Amino acid sequence: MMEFPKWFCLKDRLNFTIDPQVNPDDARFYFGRDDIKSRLQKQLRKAFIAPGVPKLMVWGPYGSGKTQTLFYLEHYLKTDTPSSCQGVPHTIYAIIEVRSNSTARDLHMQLMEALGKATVAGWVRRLFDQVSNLDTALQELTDDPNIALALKELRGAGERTFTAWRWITGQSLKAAEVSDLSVTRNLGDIGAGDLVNALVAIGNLANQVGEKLIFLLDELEELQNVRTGDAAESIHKYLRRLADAANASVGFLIGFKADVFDDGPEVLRRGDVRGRIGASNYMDIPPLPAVSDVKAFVRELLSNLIDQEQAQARIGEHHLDTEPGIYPFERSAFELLADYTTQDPARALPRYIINAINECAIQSWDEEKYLVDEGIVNGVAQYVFA
Amino acid sequence: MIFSGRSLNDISLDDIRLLIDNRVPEGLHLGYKERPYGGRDRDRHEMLRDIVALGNAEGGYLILGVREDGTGRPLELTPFDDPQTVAHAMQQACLGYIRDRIEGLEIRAFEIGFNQGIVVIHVPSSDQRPHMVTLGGHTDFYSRYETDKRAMSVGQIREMILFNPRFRQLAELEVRAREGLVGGESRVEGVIPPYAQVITERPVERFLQRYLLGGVVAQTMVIVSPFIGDLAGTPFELRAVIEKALADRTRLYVITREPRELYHQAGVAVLRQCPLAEIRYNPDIHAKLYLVWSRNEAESFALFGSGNLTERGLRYNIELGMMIFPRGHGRSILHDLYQWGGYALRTMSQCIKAINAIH
Repeated sequence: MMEFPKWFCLKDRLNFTIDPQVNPDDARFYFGRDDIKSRLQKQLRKAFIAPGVPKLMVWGPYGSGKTQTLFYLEHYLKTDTPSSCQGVPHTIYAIIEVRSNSTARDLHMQLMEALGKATVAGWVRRLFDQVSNLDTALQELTDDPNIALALKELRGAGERTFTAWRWITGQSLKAAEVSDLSVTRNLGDIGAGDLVNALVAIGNLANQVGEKLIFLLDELEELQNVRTGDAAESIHKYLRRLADAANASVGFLIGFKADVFDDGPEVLRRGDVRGRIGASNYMDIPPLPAVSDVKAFVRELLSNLIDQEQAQARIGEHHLDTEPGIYPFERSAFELLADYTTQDPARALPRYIINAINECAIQSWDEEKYLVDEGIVNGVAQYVFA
Repeated sequence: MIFSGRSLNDISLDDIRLLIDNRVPEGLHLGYKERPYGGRDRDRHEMLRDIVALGNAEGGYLILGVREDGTGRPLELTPFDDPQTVAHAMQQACLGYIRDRIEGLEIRAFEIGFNQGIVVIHVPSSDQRPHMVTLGGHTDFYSRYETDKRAMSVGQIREMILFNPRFRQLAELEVRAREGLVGGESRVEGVIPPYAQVITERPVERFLQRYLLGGVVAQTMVIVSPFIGDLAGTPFELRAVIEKALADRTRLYVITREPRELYHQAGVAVLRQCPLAEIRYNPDIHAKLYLVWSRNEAESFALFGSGNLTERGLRYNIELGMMIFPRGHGRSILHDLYQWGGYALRTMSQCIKAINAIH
């Protein structure tokens, strides 16, 4: 029997799943949600004018497409960079691991590790090539001379650069190491603001060499795991400082899961953070509300994943009761799928829809049918949307 | 027990009316509420706690749409609008926020006139007790005492676990496993990243242990194993996996070779009994993958390695496995494994049993 991808005329893929973590090319897709897409793009364009970098939160229920949204925005920033962005977007996708006692220091370290020593060291070297006096240029990036000293060390090689990097990531150094670096204390010893200062200095450094540092932080509902009061407070301070208008060099796009806004982590919703980020920069990614939205989503998905020429030939050759755009669904099966999807609004989510399409296609392939019919949709809907 | 613990399929509106006519009072197994629960978060919490409280006691019935006289005796039916929607929303909330899910929980609307009616909830006596409500970052355990519910103390929760034969057996297994597995997992901190764990002793058993004991509610489970036994007589019988899958409404995708040996036939026979299992044969399969995909992605995990899902694979052979968790890069590895086992491999294998309709 013909292989599954050929059976359904799939273009360079094994099934109907979109997953930018598996296929980076899938980041370009954002199906059936033109209104959200244009709202997101508008917010990004505005953000590069003021505050200078995007500070955006996307939230929604499980399977609503938050991760896809973050990857799509990354793709958009890189391939269709808004003219308001003065520099090349340097995006870092990171999933932050959070324990019950995680503090701002842990968060900072993960951000820095995701950014990477090589990247920051490369920026320092590029700055060195641009300016006549590196010391002066680094001091202009930050008010803290310790940070400037540590950054300068990254230009070199050997053990001291690693020590400097460990200092920048917020790890506690031994007294001898602190002395060797000529810094006066460990980073973060005087609070979360200290850590943010280092990050902002790196953002300023990126600016100087023509790049815009933007973190994409997924699954930050994990912050709810922080149970220790002091730990939660330090993370809150860290995020508040990053959200502050004074930070115009480190952007962040954050995704967190929440069925309703109040289910999200408190540190991301608190008034002082929300006030700084701005209510319009909290974007919810809701389920697809109406049958027409679901149809648009499925049509766009099928049109993009299926080779339309091959599909047209298949339809003609076997006189199939379908049309390009909804192939491999029979017309009535396509309608039925859209109906099932919207029966429970909470399940009208991209993840469930894509899962249903895959399951329908697999069953159709099992039965050696070129098209998914109503019987198959009825069977699959029993467990996918149950 | 009221209604002799019958299913709602065997109860009619007349039975409810009879309760009112006979003024049967509220008690350990029966509760009345005049109106449905509201739509706010705290109302949803209240509803979940009421249901869990019955489940953690001895089971019973909760009837929404009956006014009582203040002493717990019913006076009359108070039908409300759109009972089907109310029942459906309650079902969804219970599926999402009660753990372990209460097997056999029934929530049904009884219509009285056009789009008006009452809702009856039947909570069967559960051998999965204690159940808990996990919502909005809070987890709590409630139990019903006479006509009211109370938060359970740590002692009560512990006692309930210890007196539940199933949990007691699992707890003993956990202790035994911990004793037996010292050194089985890599301790090389900084070398093995936190999203991956090398397991050198009984990796498949560790996977099953995590699945059965870890409290995860899986949406999908993928089992790729050339050979599968029923594991009868071992601490982690295949039947226990099936029971949990049914309780959690987990879809089970199994890819194995066509069974020739008796033990393999016995394993497949157990799987065939599960309506939520899809079984495929592939004569070339040599890989071993076990993957649990949860609606809460942070709870998902997978194991791949050398061990078959057989008694020898679990207990006697020298096997090696790597457990993957959805942290950092582990997340994309899990996605990759799910894509492969959950979709690609299925479309390379012959389906011999599809998932049956679920009602």
